[in-house]
Amino acid sequence: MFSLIIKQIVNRGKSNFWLGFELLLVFCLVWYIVDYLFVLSYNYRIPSHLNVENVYRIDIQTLPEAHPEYSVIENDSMNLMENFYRVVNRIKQHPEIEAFAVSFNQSYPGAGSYNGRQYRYPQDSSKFVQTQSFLIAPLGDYFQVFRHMGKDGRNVFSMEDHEWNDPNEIIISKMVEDLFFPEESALGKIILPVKGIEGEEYKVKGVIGDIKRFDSHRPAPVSFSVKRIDAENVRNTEISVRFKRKLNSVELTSFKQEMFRELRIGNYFLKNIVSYRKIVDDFNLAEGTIIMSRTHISLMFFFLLNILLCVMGTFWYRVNSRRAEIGVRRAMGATKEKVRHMFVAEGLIILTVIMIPAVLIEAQFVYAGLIHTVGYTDITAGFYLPDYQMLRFVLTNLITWFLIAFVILLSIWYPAYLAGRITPVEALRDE
Amino acid sequence: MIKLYFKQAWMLMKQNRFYSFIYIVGTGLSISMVMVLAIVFYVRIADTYPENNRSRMLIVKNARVRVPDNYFSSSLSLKTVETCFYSLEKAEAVSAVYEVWENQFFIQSLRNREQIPVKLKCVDSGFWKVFSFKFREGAPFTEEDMESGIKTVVITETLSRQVFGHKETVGEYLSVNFVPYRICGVVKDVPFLSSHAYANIWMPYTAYPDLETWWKSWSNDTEPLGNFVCYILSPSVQMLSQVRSEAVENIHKYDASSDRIEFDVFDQPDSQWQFLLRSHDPYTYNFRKLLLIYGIIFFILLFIPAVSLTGLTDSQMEVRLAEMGVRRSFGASRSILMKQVIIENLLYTLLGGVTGLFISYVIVWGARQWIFYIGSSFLELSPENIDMFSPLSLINYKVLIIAFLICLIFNLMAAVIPAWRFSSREIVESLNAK
Repeated sequence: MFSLIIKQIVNRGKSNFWLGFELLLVFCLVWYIVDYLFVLSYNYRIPSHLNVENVYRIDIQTLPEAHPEYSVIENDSMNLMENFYRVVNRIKQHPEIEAFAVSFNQSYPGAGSYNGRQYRYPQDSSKFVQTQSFLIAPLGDYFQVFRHMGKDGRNVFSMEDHEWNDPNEIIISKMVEDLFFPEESALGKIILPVKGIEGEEYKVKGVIGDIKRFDSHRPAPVSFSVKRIDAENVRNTEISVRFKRKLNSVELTSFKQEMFRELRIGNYFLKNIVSYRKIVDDFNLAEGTIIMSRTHISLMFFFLLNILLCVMGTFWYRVNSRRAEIGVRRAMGATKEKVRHMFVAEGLIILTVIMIPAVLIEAQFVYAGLIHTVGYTDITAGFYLPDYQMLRFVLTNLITWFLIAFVILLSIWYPAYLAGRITPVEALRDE
Repeated sequence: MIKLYFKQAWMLMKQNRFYSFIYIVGTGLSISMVMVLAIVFYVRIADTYPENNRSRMLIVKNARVRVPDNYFSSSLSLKTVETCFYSLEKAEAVSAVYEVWENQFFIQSLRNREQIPVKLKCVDSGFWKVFSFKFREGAPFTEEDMESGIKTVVITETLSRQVFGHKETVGEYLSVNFVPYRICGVVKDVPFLSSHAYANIWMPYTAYPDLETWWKSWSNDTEPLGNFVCYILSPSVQMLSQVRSEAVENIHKYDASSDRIEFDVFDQPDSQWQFLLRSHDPYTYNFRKLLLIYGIIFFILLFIPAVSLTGLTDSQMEVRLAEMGVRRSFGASRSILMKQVIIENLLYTLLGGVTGLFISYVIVWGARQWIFYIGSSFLELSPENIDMFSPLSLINYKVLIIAFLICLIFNLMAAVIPAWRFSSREIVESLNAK
């Protein structure tokens, strides 16, 4: 049976040429996309150890001087601070609020700006790691608001446990711990900044689970430090709150209206309340990978559709022009299934043969370094599958084979069904 | 003769319904992919409201200042625009637009206490000449308003409705960050993808608080830099290159006026398509490379379906080989047969083209919120409920011509090889096929 099909394929060389050529092109292109999506979905599966559901950012601002209610007295540093604490207390005391936090310079998930801070390796002080730095005020509980997990990835990390208000104490993510202290715990250890004043050093106060800046990327090292609020930096703060439960839009609007009234203290007024779900989603969308992946998926559908049409049309003609042969075969006792299987096997064998040159072409692209790894960083601690080039290559090729095989099955089904229906009498009469 | 070919092709199509269906749908789908790409570019490059003069407009957006051992990049300062561009003699109009960062400006609505975020652009009186806005009410602010820094604004219909309800709003006062501005005109909404003109509120830049203080506080060397983008309108498309070279000359003079700093605008002014390609990477752009990449993408998108349809045509030809043999034995030449096959195929392709155009409109409309961002990263998202583009602008003869040309190329790719192969078979062999 097998050698017979091979013989058939060779004999129909010319008509198989176009089919094979098309399959070869599409195999390479689909592989490229599968590889892209493979890395992407692997990245998406890596957890980010925090949660932004039911978390909102409360934007407050001070009135401009032009405003009729603007008061010069309220703008001195003491009143500015006192009123700020009043604002925070009113928010904190609202019965729907579970936790609140105050941070500086966009230190929250989905923030557009990136503040970097570099720390030296304890083993080798000439090397350093760049961390994304979050600056937090010692008010409320930041980690409770965003439900940051501890390094075990199970329990919510809490700042209150640690009584954390020393600017020289920092909290790092698990990745930094793994890089700096591979075999031991980082708690209580000292690390040094790259650019700092003489004698500046930081003590590790806690380790949290790894977080990702973009959903589509790998986790990256982060560090948290603490800074007290004063009249100078109070303008650069942002207030985040976690609600006890999910509010519907009506409840949210009434909360907003209440806050518009409540937070009109001194020169402060409420500007807006924004959900972190939206902030994070917009941030991910703006980064571009989501649109890239949609484009890739549409292209993949397009290529597979081409295969579908090409294979379907070619085999439909093939069935028609081989009616006599099929008739003879049926007359000699081949069952409907056997005739069908013959066509299906023919398609799959062509695909498998095509895979050999396809893999060779793909390998050229890999060697030339043209294959992009989404969210690639050279700092990785721990296991990351897409970095194993060979394994990834084999896996993505297998996935591609199955994808195209599925499409071939789908497209041969109808012509093969027609072939199976040919009765010996009918076909032989044509002769 | 051609009529006969079409007749024959039509009959043939009715005979092989399944094949015809696959072929037409296949053509439609394959053309739709390229059409979608073409539409994406069309919407961003062709003249469309209120950027009706894109084809004779030049843009300068990015600039760099080099000082010994450092450099700064940004847009232009007002002084740069004044010295280099306002003075252009050949230009029909010049406009400087101050790009305000997002989330800076809010409007205080009288109806509720909520703050409405707005997209604000600070412009000059030339802005209303470079772009052709449709005024529903009132008129643009005047040159005198501009010079004396009168607090006056032009807003969109939607914003006017949102803040004031349905009554006439020219002459009303609007609170922008708690400062009252007089409304002098209301314009038709601007689609988001007309990004040069897009905003929902425009004011004279002379009325803007603290213009340019940020850059001035930075350093003396950065005097040429600021947040202004400059648009230059040429009187005609033919004059473009002259206007451009006058601008380039002015930039060189400006650069030469200081020994300490080096001022560079990276080969701008750009035309609209250059501006679009440059947006990927303003400083190390390479138009030739980018055009090549897009060319390759277009080619692949056409080539893959063409190969699959060639396979189909090929199979069909094999069945019709006997017919070819008969035609040739009665004296039809090879070129006549080839012509027939290609014309027959053109019928399929045209039907497929109509299907494809339809499919591509559906795709573009369905994915309008993201499809125009293809290839860009760190993009500016459109606010909710804003039209990306006006769909009617797509239904015009230019798009149809583009579609027809794509069909033609596609048809040639898919039909020429089979036609050539089968018309060159030996007559005896062909006759023997059945």
